[in-house]
Amino acid sequence: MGDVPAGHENLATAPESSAPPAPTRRASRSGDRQGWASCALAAAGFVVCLVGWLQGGASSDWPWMPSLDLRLSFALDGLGALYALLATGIGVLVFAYGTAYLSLHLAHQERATAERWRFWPWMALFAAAMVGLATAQDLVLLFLFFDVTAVCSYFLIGFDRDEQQAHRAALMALLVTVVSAVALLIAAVLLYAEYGTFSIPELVDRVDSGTTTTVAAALLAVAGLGKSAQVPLHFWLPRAMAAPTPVSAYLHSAAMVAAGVLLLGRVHPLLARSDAVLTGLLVVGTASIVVGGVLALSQDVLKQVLAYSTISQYGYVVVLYGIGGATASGAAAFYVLAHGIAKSALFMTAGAVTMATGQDRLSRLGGLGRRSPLLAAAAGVAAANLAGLPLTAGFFKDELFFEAAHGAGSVTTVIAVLAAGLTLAYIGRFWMLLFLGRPRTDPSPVPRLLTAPITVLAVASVLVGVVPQLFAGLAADAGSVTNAAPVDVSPGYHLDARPANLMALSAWALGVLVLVFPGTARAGSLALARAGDRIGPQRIYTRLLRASFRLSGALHAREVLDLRSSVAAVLVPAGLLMALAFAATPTVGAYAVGSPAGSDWLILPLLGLVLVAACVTARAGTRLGMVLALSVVGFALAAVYALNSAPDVALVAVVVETMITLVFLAALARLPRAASAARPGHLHVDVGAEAPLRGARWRNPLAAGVAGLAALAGIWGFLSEPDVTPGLAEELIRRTPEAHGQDVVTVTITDFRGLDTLAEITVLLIAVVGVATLVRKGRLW
Amino acid sequence: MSRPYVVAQVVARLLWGPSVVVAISLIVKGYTDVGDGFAAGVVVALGLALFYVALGASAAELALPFLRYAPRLMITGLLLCLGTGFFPLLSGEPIFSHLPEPGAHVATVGSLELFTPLLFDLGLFLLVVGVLTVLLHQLAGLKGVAEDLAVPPVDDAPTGGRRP
Amino acid sequence: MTLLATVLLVPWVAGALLVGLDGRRRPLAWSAVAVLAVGLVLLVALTVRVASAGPVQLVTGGWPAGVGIVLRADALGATFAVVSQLVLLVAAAHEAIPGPRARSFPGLVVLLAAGLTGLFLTGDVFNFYVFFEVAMTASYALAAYGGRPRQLRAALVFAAVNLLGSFIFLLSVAGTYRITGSLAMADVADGVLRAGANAGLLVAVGFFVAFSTKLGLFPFHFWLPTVYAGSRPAVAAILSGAVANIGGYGLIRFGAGIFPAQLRMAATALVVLGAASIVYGGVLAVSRGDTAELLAYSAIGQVGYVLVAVGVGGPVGLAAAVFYSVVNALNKALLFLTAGLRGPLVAGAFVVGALSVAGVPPAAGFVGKLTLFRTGVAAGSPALVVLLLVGSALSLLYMFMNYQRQFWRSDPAAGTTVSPLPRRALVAVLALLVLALGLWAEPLWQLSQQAADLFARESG
Repeated sequence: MGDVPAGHENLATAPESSAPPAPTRRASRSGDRQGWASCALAAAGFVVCLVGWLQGGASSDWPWMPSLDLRLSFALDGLGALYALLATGIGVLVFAYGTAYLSLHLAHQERATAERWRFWPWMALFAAAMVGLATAQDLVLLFLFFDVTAVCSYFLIGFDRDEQQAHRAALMALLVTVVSAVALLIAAVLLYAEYGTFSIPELVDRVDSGTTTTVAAALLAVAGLGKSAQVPLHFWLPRAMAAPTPVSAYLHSAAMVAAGVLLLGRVHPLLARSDAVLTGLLVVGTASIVVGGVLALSQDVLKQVLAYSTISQYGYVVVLYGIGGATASGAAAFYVLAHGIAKSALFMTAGAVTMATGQDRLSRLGGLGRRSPLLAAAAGVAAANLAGLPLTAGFFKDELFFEAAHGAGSVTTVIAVLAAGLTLAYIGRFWMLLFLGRPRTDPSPVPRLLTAPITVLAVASVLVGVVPQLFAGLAADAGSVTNAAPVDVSPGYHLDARPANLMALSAWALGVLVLVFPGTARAGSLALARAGDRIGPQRIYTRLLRASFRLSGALHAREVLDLRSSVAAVLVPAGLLMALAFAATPTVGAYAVGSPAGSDWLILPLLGLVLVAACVTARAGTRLGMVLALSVVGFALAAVYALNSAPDVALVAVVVETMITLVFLAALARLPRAASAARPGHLHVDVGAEAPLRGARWRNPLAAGVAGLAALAGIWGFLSEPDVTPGLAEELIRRTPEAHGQDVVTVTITDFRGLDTLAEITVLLIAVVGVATLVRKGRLW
Repeated sequence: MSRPYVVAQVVARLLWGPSVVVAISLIVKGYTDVGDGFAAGVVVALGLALFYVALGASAAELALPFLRYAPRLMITGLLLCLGTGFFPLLSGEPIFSHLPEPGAHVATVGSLELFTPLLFDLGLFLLVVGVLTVLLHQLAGLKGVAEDLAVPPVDDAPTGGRRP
Repeated sequence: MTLLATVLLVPWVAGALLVGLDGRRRPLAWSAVAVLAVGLVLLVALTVRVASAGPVQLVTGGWPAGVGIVLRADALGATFAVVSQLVLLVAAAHEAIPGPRARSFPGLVVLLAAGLTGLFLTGDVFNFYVFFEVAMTASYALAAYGGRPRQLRAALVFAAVNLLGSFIFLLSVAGTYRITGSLAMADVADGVLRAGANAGLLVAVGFFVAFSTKLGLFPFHFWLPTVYAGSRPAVAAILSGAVANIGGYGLIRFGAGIFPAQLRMAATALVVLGAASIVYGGVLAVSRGDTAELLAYSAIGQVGYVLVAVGVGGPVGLAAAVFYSVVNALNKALLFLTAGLRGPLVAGAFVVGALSVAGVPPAAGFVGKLTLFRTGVAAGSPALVVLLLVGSALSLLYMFMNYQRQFWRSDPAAGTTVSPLPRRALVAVLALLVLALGLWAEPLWQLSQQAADLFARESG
C-alpha cells in the first residue's frame, strides 16, 4: 500500500454532480432505532454522571487481575466528571444529529440501512469507553479504554468502505494513535517496576523525580500528544475527516482527541515532576497552535479547516499543561469544555451545509445566511465561542488562557496572543465564506434535526457566556485533580485594563488584520502546507510504510522455498550454533580418544564399511544403488550391535533393516522412472539429477559438511563424558528378576518402559494410516 | 509380473510356516532369551512380504485371504496393549503395574511365563504384523497412483505454490 | 493420579478405534469432537487440581522414578495441554461441521491429542520423545489433509524438515542420557549440573535447534510459510495452535527446567535470535497478500516474543513466555480458521484475532504485551522495549492492512457465498474466548506464574 501524500482531496461525502434528494423526515427519524437507542444511552449516561458529580463524586474499586496488580478502579472526580459529561452531553446531541445525518448519508450513497449496524454500535461503545477513560484511576485500565476508543475510531473512519481514502485514513489513525498509546503502557510498566502500583493516585503519592519518572512522564506525554493530534503526530486527524460528519463532530473534536489531553490532565502530577517534560509540552503545544492555525487559514474543505483548528485548539490546552500550576490547570479544564461545545457545533454545521448543498468546499459555498438564518446564527455563536468573543463561553476560555500565559512569562504571553489572533482569523474566514456573500448554491432545506443540536450548543455557549459559573465549578474541580491541589476558577467580565483584557484586544486586532489581508495569510499558509507535504511527518509516515513494503518484498524474494534449501536452512544454522557453543566453552580435555581392544578390532572395519556405504548413498546415481548402500549401512550397524553384546537390538535391527529395504524397493519400483523435465507433475526423488539452482552444487556438500561436523562435535563431546555410576542401566538389570524376567531388554520394553513401547507402536499405526491416506484416501484395506 | 517366479513362490510357501514358528518361539522365549513381540512380528511380516514379492499383491492376498483382517489385527493389537497397560487404573494402581506383582509367584508352561506382560507382547506382535501387512498392501496400491496424482515439483522448485 | 492416566487413555483408545473407521461419516467426526471435548474437560479438571494442590505425579508400574516412567502434571504442562486440546477441539469441530474430507482425519486428530497430552504431561525425557513422535507423525499425515498438490507439497516439506528436527532431538536425548545416566527429568536436571560444560552446552544446543525448528523461529523457519499457507485452514490452525506449542513448551521445560545454567549462558543469543525472529517475521508479513502466508510469517514473529521472554528468564520472563505462548496459540488458531470463511461474524472474529496479535486491548494479546513489557523492563533493556514496540507496530500494520483487504474491499463479486453459520459461530466463540481472556486473564496468568515458579524453585 502506498499512501498518497497530503493533497486537498475532495472528501465530498455526496457526489458533486447530483443534487441531494430532498430528505423525507419520516425516513430519517423513525427508521434509525439504533441511533436513538445510542442517544438514549448517552442521555442516561449524562444524567448519571451529572447526578453523581452533583452528589460529590463517586468511586469504585474492584480487583480485576490481582496477580497482575490490576484493579478496576474508577472515580468520578472533577476531571472524570468533566470529560464524562462532555462525552455524554455532546454525545446526546451528536447522536440525535446522527440519526438524521446517517439516514441521508446512506440514502445519498444508495447503501442499505442495515449498514447502521456498522455505525451505531461503535458510536455507543465509544461513548461508553470515553466515560470509562474519564473515570479510570489505573494506568492499565486507562490504556485499555484509550485503545478501545482508537479501535472505535478506526471503524468509524472506515465507515465509507467504498472510498480508498477512508481505508488509508482509518489505517493511519489506527497506527498513529495505537502505536503512540503503547508509550502509555510502557510508562505504566516502568512506573510499576519502580513503585509497585498501577494506580494513578498511589503513583501521584509515591513518585518522586528521577530518570524513571522523567522517562515515564515523557512516554505518557507522547501517548497523550499522539491521541490529541499534536505536532508532529497531528497528520492523522485531517485525514480522519474521511469519516461521516457525526464521527468528526464527536470523536475528532470533543471526545477522542480530547482523550489525549485528558490523559495529560490525569497524570499531570507525574509530568510535573520533570521540568524537561513540561518544557516539551510547551514546545509541542506552541508548534501545534501555529501549524494548525496557519494551515487552517488556507483550507478549502470545510472539515479540513475544522480539523486543523482542532489541532491548534488542543495545542492551547497542551501549552496550559506545559505551564502547569493552579491557574493553568483550571484554565485547561475550562478550555476543553468550551472548545468541545464550540467545535462539535461547527462540525455539525459543516455536515448540515454539505447535506443541504452537496458541496463541501468553501470555494463553492457562500451566502447561506439568507437561506438558513437560524443555522447561520447558531454557527456564528459557535464560531464566536471558538474565537473567544464576549458573551460566549469562549471569552472565558481565552481569558483564563491569557491569565495563565501571562503568569508564565512574556514568551507565553506572545504565543497566547498570536494563537488567539489566528483562531479568530481562520474561524472568521470560515463563517464569513459560508454564510455571507453571494449565494452560490441552491440548497435544499436543512432537516430540523440537523440544526437543532447546533442551536442547543449555541444556546449553551451563550448561557455560559453570561453565567460562567456554570462551567467554572466543574473546571475548578477538574483542575484540582490535574494540579493535585485545590484550584480556583473564577471567570468573569472585568471592564479594566488587566493584562488578560489587553491581550484579548490585541488578539482580536491581530485576527481582524489577518482577515483584512487574506492574500498574505493564504500565501503563508500554503507555503507551510507545501513544506509540510515535502518534509512533514506525514511524508515520513508514508516513506516508512513504503520502505517497509520494499524491504518486505526484497526479503521475501530471498526466502528459500524448495525442500532441500529448507532442510539446509535448518542444518546450517544448527551447525553454526553448535560451533558457537563449541567456541563458548572450554574444550581442553572434553574430547577423549580411547584405545581399541578385543572385539573393537572387528567393529572398526565394520564402521569403516558404514562410512563407505554412507558416502556411496550420498553419491549414488540410481535409486537402487542408494537403497542398497543404505541397507549396507543398516546391516553393518546391526553387526556392531551384535558385537557390542546387544543381541536384542541386533535382532530387531536385522529384521527391521530387511523390511525397510524391501519397502524402499517396492516403493521406488512404483515411482515413475525418472523425473522428466517434460512432465514436472511427478512426485520425484531426484537422486543426483540435474541441479537447477545456482550454487546448489555447493549447497548440499556445504550444508551436509557443516551439520556433520556439528554432529560429530556434539556426539564426541557427550561420549567423552565419563560414565555415570550408578547408571540407570545397572538399575534396570538389577530389577529385571523382580519383573519376572531374565532378558532386560524384553522386560524394559513391556514393563519398565512399556508406555514408551505403547507410544512407539502407536507411531507405527499412525504412520501406516498416513500412508493409507496418501495412497488409498485413508482406506486401510 | 506376467511370469511369476516359481522358485520364489515355492520358497515363500515353504518359509511361511517356519516364520510363524520362529515368531512364536521369539515370544515364548522372550523373557529368558533374545527376542520379543516386536521382532516376532517383523519376522512374520517378512514371511508375508515374501508372498507379496513372489506372487504379486493380488495373488498373495488371494492365497492368504485372512490378510484382509490386517487393519483389525493392528487395531486389536494396540487396544490389547492399551488394555494391558491401563487396566490397573480400575484398581487405582499406577498404569503398567503388571500382574502378578513383583515377587509374587508366576505360573509357567515350560519356559512360557503366564503374566500380563505376555499379553502386552502379544498385542505388540499383532500390531506389528498388522501394520506391516497394511503397509505392504498400501505399497501394492501405490502402483499408478503416482502417475494419477498431479503432484507438483517438490524439490528445487523455487517458484512453488507460495507466491500469490 | 487416576485422572492423570485417564486423560491419556481416553484419546488414545478413541483414536485407535477411530482410525479404523470411515471418518468422513458425520457421526464419527462428531464423536471425535466429543472425545476431544471429554478430554478437554478432564484436562481442565486436572489443571484445576494442579493449580490448587500442586503437581500430580505417577510412576508406571509402581517402580521407583527413573526405572518406571514418570508422568507428571504441573502447571506448565497442564496449561499447554489444555490450550492444545482446545485448539484441536475447535479445529475438529470446524471440519466436522461440513464433514471431513478424508477418512482418517478424525482419528488422526484424536491420536494427535493423545500424543500432545502425553508429551505435556510426561516427566521423562525419552518418553517425551516418543510422545513427540506420536504427535509429529499424526501431524505429518494431517498436513496432507485435503489431498491437493498444495497440501501434499506442504506435507512433504513439513515432514522432511521436522523429521530432521526430531532426529536432532533424539541425538540430544541420547546425549542427555549419556552425560546424566538418567531419563527422568528431575534426575536429568541434577545430572546436567555435574556434567562437563562443553558436552552440556552442545546437548542443550541440540534441544534448542529441535524446538526452534518445531516452533519456526528465525532462521529455522523456512519450512513454515510453505506448510502453513499450503495446508487447509483447520490443519494450519492445528499446526500453529497446537503442534507448535511443543516448541514453546520444550524451550521452557528443557531450557529452564533441565539446562538452566546453559540457558543463562546463552541468554543473550536467545534474545538476539528472538529479536531477529520478531523483526523478520513482522517485516515479511507486511507485504504478503495471501492471508495464510501472512499469518505464517506473523507466527514466526510472534514466537520470537516467546523466545525473548525465555531468554530474559526469571519469574516474570518465564511466566510471560507461558502466557504469550497460550495467547499466541489461540490467536493463530482463530485467525487460521477465519481464513477460509466469509460472511458476518467472520470479520469480527478476524478483528479480535488481529487486535490480539497486535496486543491491542481488549483482546488477550494486550495482557500478553503487558507481561512482555514487564519482562523487557525487568531485563533493564531499553532496546528490548523498543523492539517490542516495533514488533507490535508491525503486527498492527500487517494485520489491519490484511483485514481491510479481506473485508473492506468494495466487493465486486458481491455474491460470494456465505459460509455455513455453525462454522462462523464457532470462530465467533473462539473470538469471544480471546476477548474474555483479555478482559480477565487472571486464571491464565496465575497458571503462568505457577509454571514459572516451578523453575524458580528448582534452579534455586
